[in-house]
Amino acid sequence: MLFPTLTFGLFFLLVYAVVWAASGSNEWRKILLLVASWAFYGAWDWRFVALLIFSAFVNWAAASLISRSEEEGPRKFWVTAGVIANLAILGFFKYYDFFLEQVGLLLDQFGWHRDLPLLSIILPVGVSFFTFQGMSYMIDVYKRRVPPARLLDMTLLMSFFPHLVAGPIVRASHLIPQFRRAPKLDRGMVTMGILLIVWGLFKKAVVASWLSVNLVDPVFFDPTVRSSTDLIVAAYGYAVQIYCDFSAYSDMAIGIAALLGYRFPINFNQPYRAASLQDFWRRWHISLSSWLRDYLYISLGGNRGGLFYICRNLMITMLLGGIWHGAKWTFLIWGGLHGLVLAAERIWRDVKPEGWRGLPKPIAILLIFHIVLLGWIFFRADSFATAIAYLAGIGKLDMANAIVTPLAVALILLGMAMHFTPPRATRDMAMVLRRANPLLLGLGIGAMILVIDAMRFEGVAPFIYYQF
Amino acid sequence: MTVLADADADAAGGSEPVPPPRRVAHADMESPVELPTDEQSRTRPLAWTTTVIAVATLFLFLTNAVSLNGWAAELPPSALSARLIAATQAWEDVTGRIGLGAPRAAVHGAWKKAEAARFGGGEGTAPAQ
Repeated sequence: MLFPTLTFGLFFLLVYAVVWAASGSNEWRKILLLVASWAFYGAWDWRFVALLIFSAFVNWAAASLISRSEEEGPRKFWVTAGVIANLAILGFFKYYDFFLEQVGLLLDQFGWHRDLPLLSIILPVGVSFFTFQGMSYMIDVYKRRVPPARLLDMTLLMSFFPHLVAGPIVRASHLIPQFRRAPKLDRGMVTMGILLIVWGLFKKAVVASWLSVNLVDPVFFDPTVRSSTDLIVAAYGYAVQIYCDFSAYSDMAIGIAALLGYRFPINFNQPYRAASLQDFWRRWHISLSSWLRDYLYISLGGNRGGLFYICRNLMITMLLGGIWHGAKWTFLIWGGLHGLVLAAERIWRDVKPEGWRGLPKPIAILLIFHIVLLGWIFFRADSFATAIAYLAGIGKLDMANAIVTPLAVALILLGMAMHFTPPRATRDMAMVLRRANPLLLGLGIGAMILVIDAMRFEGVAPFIYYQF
Repeated sequence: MTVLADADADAAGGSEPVPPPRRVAHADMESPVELPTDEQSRTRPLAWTTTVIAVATLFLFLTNAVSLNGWAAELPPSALSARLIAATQAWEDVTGRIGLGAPRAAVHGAWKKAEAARFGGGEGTAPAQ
C-alpha cells in the first residue's frame, strides 16, 4: 500500500475516523492503531507481520530483562544478546544470499566449485528501519536514557504505519512519551501536516516518478549506448529524483502522523545546500545519520583518541552505513566515498594553516553537491561495472542529445530550486493558513491535489527506500 | 555527518557509575509540525481538521472521477470490482456531462503538451502512460 495512491487515501480516512472516534480511551486508540499498522504492512505480505511482531517482542523482552538487573554483567549480557538477535534478523533477510555468493566466487578463484545453499530470500519491506528502531530502544534502555516501555507501546513504536517501511527512524525517547498520553491536535500542527502531505505528493508523484521513468531509468539501464549529455543530465536527474522520492516519503509520514496527533522528527533539511559533507549529513536522512552517530560512531570511540582514530571511526561508520542500504558492492563504495571525504574534511580542519580562509560558500556548495552526485552514480548503478561505464561515458564528451527534454530540465531545476527557498517557507505558510476558514482551506487543499493528480505519472513506482 | 559535531560527550563506556534515567533531547529530533500555539489554534481542532479533510475529499470526489474510475479498473477482477467499475464509470460520465471534470482535463492536457515538447521547437510523442 503506497502513500500516494487512492487505496492508501481510503485506508487513511478509515483509520482517521475510527481512531479519533475511539480517542476516549488511549489504550483502545493504540490497539486500533496497531491493528491498522499490521493491516498496512500485511498488504505487502502477511507472513512478515509475524516477523514484525517477533522483532518487537524480542526487543521488548531484552529491554525488560536489562531493566530488571542493577548489575552491569547481566545488563551487558542481555543487550549483547538483543543486538545479536536483531543483527541476525537483518543479516538473514538482507545479506545471507549476498554473503554466500561472495563465498562462492572466492572458492571459484581457488578452483573449488561448490553449489552453495542460496535461499532466494524475499526481503521484508522496511526491515532495516524497524530493526534499527528496535535496537535503538533496547540500547537506550541499557544506557538508561529511556525507561522500559510496555509491550503495547513498544510494539506500536516499531509497527506504527506512517514510519514503518521507510522511516524516519523515530526513537523511543521521542515517540513512547507521546503514546503514554492521549494525543491532542492543534490547528498549526494539522495545517503543517497537510502541507507536508501535499508537498510530498507533488515531489513523489510528479517530480520523482516522471524523472525516474522518462530519464533516469532508461539511461542507467545501459549507459554504454548513451551520449555524455544524456549521462550528465540523468545524473543530475537522479540527484533530484532520490531527494524528491525519499524526502517525499518522510514529509508524508510526518504529515500523516500529525493528523493522528503524533509528532515525528525532521528527516531532510535542504541537503543540497550543504557547504561541507559533514553539513550534508546534518541535512540528509537525519534520523539515520543521528542513529549511526549515537549507536555506532560513538560506540567506536567517537571523536576520542586522536585524528587517526577519528578518521578510522568515520570510515567504518560510513562503510557500514553504505552496506545498511543493501548487499551490493556499489553501496559499499558509496559509503566509502563519503567516509573518505568526511575524513579528508576532518584532516583539513586540523592541519589547515591559521589565517587560511575556506572556499567561498557558493563554490563549496557546488563542490560538495558534485561529490554527492558522484556517490549517487555508484548508489544507483546496478553494478560496479555499470558505474564505471557511466563515468567513462561522461568522459567521452559526446554532446548528442537523445533523451533530454525541456520538461526534464525544468523538473531538475525545480528540484534544485527547492533547496534554495527560505528554509521556513512551509512553516510560515502554515502559520497563516491555520487561521483560515476550514471550508476554504479544504477547497484549496482539494484543488492542489487535483492539479497534482492531473500531472502525475499513472502507476506510481514504489519509493526507492522501500528496498532498504 | 552529525557524528563529527558532538560525539565526545557520549563516548564513555558502560562501566561508569549508573545515572538515573534521563530525557534525551536532540536538536535533530525537533518536529517540523511543532508550531507555536495560540488560543485560536486550540479551538475545536478536531472538528476544524475533519471539516478540512471532508471538504477536500468531497471536492476531489466531484472533480476527479477519472482517477476514481482508473483506480477501480486496477482492482483485482471480482464481482465487486466489476460493480465498482460500472458505478465509477457512470459517475465519471455524470461529472463529465456537467463539466466538473473540465479543470482536471485542462491541466492534464497542458501537462501532456509540456511532456511532448522537445528542444529545437519540435514535438515528440508524449511518453506512454
